[in-house]
Amino acid sequence: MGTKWQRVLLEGLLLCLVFFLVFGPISSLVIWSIAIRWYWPHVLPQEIGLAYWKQALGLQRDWAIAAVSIWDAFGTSILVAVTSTALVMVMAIPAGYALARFRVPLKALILLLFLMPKAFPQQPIFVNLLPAFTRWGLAGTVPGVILIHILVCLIFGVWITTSAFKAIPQELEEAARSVGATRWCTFWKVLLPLAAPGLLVSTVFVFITSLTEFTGTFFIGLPFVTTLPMLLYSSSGYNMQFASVIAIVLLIPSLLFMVLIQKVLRPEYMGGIIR
Amino acid sequence: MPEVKLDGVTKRYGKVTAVDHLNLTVRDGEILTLLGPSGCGKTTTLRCIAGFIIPDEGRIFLGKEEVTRLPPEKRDIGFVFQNYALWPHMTVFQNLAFGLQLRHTPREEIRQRVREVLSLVRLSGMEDRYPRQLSGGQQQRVALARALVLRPRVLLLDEPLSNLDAKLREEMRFEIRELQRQLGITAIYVTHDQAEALVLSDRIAVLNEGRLVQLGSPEEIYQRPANKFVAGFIGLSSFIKARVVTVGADAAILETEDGVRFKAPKNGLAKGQEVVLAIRPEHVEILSAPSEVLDNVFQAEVMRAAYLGNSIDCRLRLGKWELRTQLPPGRVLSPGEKLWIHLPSEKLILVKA
Amino acid sequence: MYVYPFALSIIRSFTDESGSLSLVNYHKAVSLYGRDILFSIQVAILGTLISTILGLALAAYIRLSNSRVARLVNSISRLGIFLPYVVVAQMMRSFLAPHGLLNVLLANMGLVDIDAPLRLFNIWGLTFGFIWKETPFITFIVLSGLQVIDDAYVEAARSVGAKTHHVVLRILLPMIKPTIAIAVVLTFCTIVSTFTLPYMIVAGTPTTVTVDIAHRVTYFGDYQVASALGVFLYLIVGVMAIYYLRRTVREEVYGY
Repeated sequence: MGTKWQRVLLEGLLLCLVFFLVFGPISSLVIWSIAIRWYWPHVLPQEIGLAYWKQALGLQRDWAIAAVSIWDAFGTSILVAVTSTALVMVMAIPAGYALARFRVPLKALILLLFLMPKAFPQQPIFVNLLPAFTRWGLAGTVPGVILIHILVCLIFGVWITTSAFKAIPQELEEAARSVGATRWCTFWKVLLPLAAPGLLVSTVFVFITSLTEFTGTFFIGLPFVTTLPMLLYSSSGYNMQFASVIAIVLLIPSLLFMVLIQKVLRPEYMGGIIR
Repeated sequence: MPEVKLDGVTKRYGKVTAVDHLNLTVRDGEILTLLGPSGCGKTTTLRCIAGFIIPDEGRIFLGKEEVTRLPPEKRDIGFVFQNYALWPHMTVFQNLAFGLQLRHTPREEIRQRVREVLSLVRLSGMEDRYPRQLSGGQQQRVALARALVLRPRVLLLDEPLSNLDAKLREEMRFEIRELQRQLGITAIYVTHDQAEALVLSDRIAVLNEGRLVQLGSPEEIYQRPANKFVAGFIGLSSFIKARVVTVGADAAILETEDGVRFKAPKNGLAKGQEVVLAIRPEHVEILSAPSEVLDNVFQAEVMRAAYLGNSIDCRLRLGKWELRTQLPPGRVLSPGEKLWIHLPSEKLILVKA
Repeated sequence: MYVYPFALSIIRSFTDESGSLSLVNYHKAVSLYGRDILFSIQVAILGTLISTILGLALAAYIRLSNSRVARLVNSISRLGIFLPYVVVAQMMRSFLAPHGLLNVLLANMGLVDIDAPLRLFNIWGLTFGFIWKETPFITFIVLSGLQVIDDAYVEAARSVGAKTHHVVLRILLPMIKPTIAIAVVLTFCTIVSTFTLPYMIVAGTPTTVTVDIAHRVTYFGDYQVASALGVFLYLIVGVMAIYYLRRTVREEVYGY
């Protein structure tokens, strides 16, 4: 039938378009990261190689190639991300539990708050914290950056743990209490194992948010604390190849997370992780 | 003239055949019920007629036109959904007017027809309500009105009463029946509720495992079930397996393996044949004393009895067979008690084993 | 921790250098950056509008079609949700640059002049970057709303004669109006408050308010004017939030 062919054709076109729009920019990154020389206006680079990757990963040291080892910045990033994730989760688990068992009437307001950290302008907050951080000697230090990251990630962390706890019917908890478990025991033996997948999502998400945090680190950390995003920013002005390498390194955890959330975990948590 | 005709319609889902070479003709102006247990293919059949599902094989006709592959929006049907599916963002008026607007009906006519159909379902003046402001029964009637306002060729109803409470459901049966008669519209009604089917159908099509088991008027289906499945599904039946021992001039004698003997109408029975006797609860008569004049009189033992308010539901044992019956209230029955019962031979239903 | 800097920024924005109450910062902010405030709003409106239209179309398509292509489009379009803005920014820098991949492809297809490739580090490139990141978000939110709608509502519409575009425009999308409102408000606010993307993509002026705040602080150490600009951001986001809240309250009373 004519209409069927039309439909197949249209769907094919749509797929190509979506494919190009999504993967065009991504492939641009990949090509740049392995391009040694790429002259305008050729479609593909004249010379490709892993020189920038090797240099960035510290496997070689060649002064002709404008890239430094990313390991220092990587180490800083990991230190900051691990510390702030740990601190955020310590606060987020009790807070999330309390919020999950607490009934609030204004649904619209809650929904808005729920998705607000994505949209709220954080930048004026950081700017106004800068003088205080300078006074306390936190500006340009790792603890200062960690503090900022906690500030950024805490809302995300609390909301995902809240939805993780909310997904557990209260009856399960009450059943445990009715057979004689203490509140503490119920929390450890019933709630925590049931909420574990949600808490895992929350932890990983907070970790990635911290790892890729830009704005706060930019104001509070620079020029002394160089995390990976900062290194990416400072090199993006002069060196497309090196910046692309870092961008890909930063992209990998997010992609892994996407696979994790789509394959392993239930979709309810998606609401909380969008930003 | 046949209004809806199914010719060898088949629909498979993977390895499961939901509808299996179904042939069915619905007459102009009748209401036909597709009746069967869940999973028998009745809803799939209805959705094929509506065009929501395209069958794998077979053809579907509305009037003279073949519609097998026509999309639902071009079929000129009215469909009433189990959950009503009233669009929540539209008022009653908007729900009813939507289809007319799509047909570019003049505004004045739309208003006129909506008013008419609302008075038909006794919901006049409810135009500006939203569906959530209506009771379940009212929503049901709006759904019916939405299907009727377009004056479709066929009205299709998919278990429309199953979300209502028992009392309302009974009322609505008559209302739908009345409405269908009044409008003379051809209707196909899907249900798993046999009482509903008996009350409101001109004819009933009993389906099982995707096949048509029996097609007939409610009386035919009830009094002459085609097989054990139909006898068990429509009305309560107790089953007794027996073999024909002698065939006389006007009657046959049957015997069960444990030696209980029945006299039955002989129609078409042959000696040695295995049959199943289906006994309806209302065909079990209780006698105060044994009778010499009557055939088929037995002594049965009460197994258990349950008080139902207007009757007593009683299970009896006859040999190794269980019989269900209903007695008027006021009698006290205790397990183990012996009763004389009479099974009138002309009322025995014989079905294939 | 959250309230203190927030309050501080509001107080600071109303304080002049001598510490007394004044509107001088707002005066300065508007006269220096008035154009950029407009620019920010322009980008936000344009980006939100296009992402919303694309997102609604994609979500409706994925909801109604059950083809393999639709599922593929669905999973591909998810990608944008997960990539952080800093990576997206770098990606756009390399993709949209004068000698970047987009211009390379267009030049080779003969669509742009080799000697004058498209200059995209301006409102167009920025908007493209935002659309790239936000369309998947809108698609996801809208789709999760559409997925909840029972097929019977669609079938009911079909049975009274609705074609696909009627089903989408008059049944599906109106049924999830509140969800769409959330998506639109959030997208708008995100675009207005994002710093990373414009900072790394837009060359020169005009640029967004967020970039101006950074300039004001890093080059001039001027927290007062930066705070005043920040208050503008709060205002924009606040207005959108109130608009959304009023809508949903109205929906709750009259709608469903």
